[in-house]
Amino acid sequence: MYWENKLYVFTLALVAGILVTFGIFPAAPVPVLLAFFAAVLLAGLALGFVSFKKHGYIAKAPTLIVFYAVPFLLGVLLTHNALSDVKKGHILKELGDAKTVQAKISGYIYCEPEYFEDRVRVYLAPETVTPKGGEALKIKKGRILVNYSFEKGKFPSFLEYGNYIEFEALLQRPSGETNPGGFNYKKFLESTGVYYTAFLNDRSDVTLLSGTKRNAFVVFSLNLKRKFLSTIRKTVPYPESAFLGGITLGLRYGLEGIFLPGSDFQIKDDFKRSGVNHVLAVSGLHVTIITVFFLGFFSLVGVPKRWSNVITVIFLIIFAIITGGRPSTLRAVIMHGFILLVWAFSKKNLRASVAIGIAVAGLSILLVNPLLLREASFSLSFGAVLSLIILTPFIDDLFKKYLIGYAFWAGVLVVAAFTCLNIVMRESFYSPPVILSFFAAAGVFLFFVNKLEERTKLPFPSYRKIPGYLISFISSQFAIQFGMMLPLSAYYFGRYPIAGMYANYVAIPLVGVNVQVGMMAVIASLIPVAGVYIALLLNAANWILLKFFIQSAHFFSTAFPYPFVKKLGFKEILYYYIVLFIILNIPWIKARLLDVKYYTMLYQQKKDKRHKLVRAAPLSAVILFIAVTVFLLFPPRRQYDADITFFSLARGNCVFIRTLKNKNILINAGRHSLYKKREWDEADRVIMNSLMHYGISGIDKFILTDLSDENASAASTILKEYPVKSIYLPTNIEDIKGLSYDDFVNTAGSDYLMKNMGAYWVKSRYDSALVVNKIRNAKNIPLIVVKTGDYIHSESVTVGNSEKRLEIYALAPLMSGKSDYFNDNLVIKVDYTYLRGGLEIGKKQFLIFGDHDRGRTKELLKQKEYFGRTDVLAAPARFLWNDDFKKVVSHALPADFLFHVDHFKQDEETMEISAKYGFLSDKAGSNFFNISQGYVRYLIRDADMYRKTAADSGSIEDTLTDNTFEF
Amino acid sequence: MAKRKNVWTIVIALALIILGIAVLALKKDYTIEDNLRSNSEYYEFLCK
Repeated sequence: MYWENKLYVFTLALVAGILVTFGIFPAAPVPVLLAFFAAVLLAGLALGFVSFKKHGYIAKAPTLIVFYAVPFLLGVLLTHNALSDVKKGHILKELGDAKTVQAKISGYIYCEPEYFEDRVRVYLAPETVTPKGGEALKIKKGRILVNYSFEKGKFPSFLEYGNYIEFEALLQRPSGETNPGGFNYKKFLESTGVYYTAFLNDRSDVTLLSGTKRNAFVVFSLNLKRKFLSTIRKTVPYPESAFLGGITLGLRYGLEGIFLPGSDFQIKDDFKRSGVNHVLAVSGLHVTIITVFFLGFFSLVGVPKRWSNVITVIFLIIFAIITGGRPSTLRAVIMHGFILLVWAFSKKNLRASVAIGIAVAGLSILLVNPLLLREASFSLSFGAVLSLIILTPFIDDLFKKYLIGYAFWAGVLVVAAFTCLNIVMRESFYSPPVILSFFAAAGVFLFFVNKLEERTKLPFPSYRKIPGYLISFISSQFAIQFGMMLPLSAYYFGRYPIAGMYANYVAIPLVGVNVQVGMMAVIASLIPVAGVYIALLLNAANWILLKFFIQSAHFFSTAFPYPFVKKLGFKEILYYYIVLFIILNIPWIKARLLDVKYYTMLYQQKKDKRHKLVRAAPLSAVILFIAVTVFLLFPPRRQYDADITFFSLARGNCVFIRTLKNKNILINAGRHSLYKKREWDEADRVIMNSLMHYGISGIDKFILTDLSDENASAASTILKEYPVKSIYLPTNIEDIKGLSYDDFVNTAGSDYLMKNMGAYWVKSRYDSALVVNKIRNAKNIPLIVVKTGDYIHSESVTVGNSEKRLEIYALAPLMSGKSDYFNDNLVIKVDYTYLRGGLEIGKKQFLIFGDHDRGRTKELLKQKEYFGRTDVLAAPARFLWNDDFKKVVSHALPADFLFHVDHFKQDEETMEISAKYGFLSDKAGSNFFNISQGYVRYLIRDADMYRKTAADSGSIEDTLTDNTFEF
Repeated sequence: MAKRKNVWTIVIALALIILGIAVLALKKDYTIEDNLRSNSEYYEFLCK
């Protein structure tokens, strides 16, 4: 084996060890781990013994042990150590793994903070933590993320790299996965060594202590960064300056809150939707551009290769520090650095150096921090470069061999069909049966056209005739899409930017120019006196190109959809890459099948029964592959009858119901806000993400309980981007057409509302009503106005002598004739009934509130006969103010009481709930669930109901009852 | 090959310079002062 191959094998074995630990050994006790190690070593020794017995020498066992077992075990050991690394001196150990701790903290800022317009994210290495009323604890490991917000003009300049600070704060453990398939913030922070967070502001008492802990080289690099930023601000106008700052200095947050005139989306969202967002994540592309820039410059001025490579490596390290040292940047810098040094000081050519470089980069990052393997930035970064290295030559050869004459046009037709089907079918195109059918049909079509081409031998047009640089670019783009973008976008984000296939043909060459000219300008600005004017000239030219980039991203984001796709699971991703591996290794597989044929004939001639074994092996592999394919395409039917999930949002009640007959019902949409340039869309980030995790391809009934900000402001995201069949509302928003904002507020006849006309929570109702009505009309989605007693959904399933019924209806508001946009809000009742032989065996009742109402609860109290003892009651936001609501709860006596608290008043509001609603525990043994901290999901099967909370994933304390069921 | 690369480098450099001069000449508000004014809220606190 060449030693480059050995390095790859070593790295892959390490990766396998890490993955196995994530899956099997995350918290295994040491004896179990030791037993596993012993088993692997024994297996290796047994292999060696068998080899010796057969051959008289140990054939491959030493190689096997060194290149498979050692790195594999190393991966297991390092990962297990990182996951359960809570020794004395670790912050978790010293604080007893407390969820929250009020404490005095002193420590130093160990890397450059992340600066935003109104806040700073500081990464602190604590040295002493003194819990309130406790003793000072010495901390050796584990970091704290401090979020410091400040008013304009009060920028905390003392929060700088290397400074020692002291402050008092409430330390909190970050939350894990709070919604199904959601982002696990806790795991993400832990992979960077952060275990607690704290929130401070400019009124907090933060003391700057004496002394610093800094690296001179890092300080030099950061000072250079500020100088470069200053040059950009002088030589490029806003917002192009923000874009240039993002792609050259890693200041990606500068693009927050910037909209092009007339656009509904921010520029950064245009980048995401057009698939060019990767230009803002400083990684391989940028590092390659910088490397080419410096090597080109040194080559121009005649610097010898060794010197130019070494100096370039130094500049790459400075670049990594300037741009924040993210995993994707580190990967690229290590890889490029290694390639340059090997190329400079060894006899290896560039291609060989590249092959080794990626393995070295992966190995060095994972040996230091194996937890990074599960982070999106690591997978996407390495996925991209591996796709380029492995897939590009394969696709290049394939296209050159087959895309000639008729086959060339057929290829163009397939790409056009793919694009059109995406635009027309949108999300439904990405269900596995549809997309697999498309590729199968495309494969068959291309096969037959190729046969036609073989007969007619039409020489033109031909892929080979396209200029070489363009061929490389086209092949590499296909490689990236199939190797990384398609599968990993579905796995991590649940969305696929189709526009990326086209936009990157413009974006990648253009960003190469933007970055290089930007770099030239900032370096030129270091020349005293004249430098800034040279930079002005260069960046004036760059400005046109930056503007063109932003406009083209916007164009592509509007021309193509950005569909939601089912989030693939780990096994589906694994299957995809196995299929890809098979396709890439068809010649090897063909050769192995010939071997099978040969040995079958040989054993048959010798009348050796082993011929059956030889034939059975490939046959078994094929049968297994078909079985797995069928299992993934047609997964077994779910085991439960109804599924009701209460998503975790800031304030609103968003509920997803999957009914007996697989109908999808969604109640509310969450909040969409833009505050101080920070956009937060709960429908996009939370709800749709979870629905994609569930594999939901459309909503049959979309119920908006009211027009409040926390329940309805994000409705437009769902309506615009997702198939919805009908909308249910308590008010007729059709009436809002032609109504001015003043008249809209006047409809309530409330002086309080008139006084608060400028408030976001008043304006939001008007905006939501307008936009929902506009989209509804454009897509012909029927609107059903719901009043008390109306059935929203009713179904019944009969199996043998048992019957299951699900009914969803409104208990409020009463029919009033005129739409009351401010007070009408639905109270929804969900009843599930299980009957056998006509007798009611089990009944489950849910009572779901929308908004904190103004008097509608009084109407509900008049209908007590419709809701008796309730299983689950979901309180509205701000329910603590409403005494009538307490009367409803006293009557319902729910087994589970679901509520929200304000994030910044958690302790205060939780205490108030205990005081006011504590009677539920005494009277009814009720369970309390703070759904601001994590989702709650109910699964109903026959007469039983099971509850699963976010806590079951280990993120919050749970209150599981006997009826809990893990699935 | 090296000679062709040098020619291309010179062409691109000249094109950029000409483009830059054109922008500075035609866009009257493209000056250091105007740019600083437009970037008044963009990381001003980091450059003080």
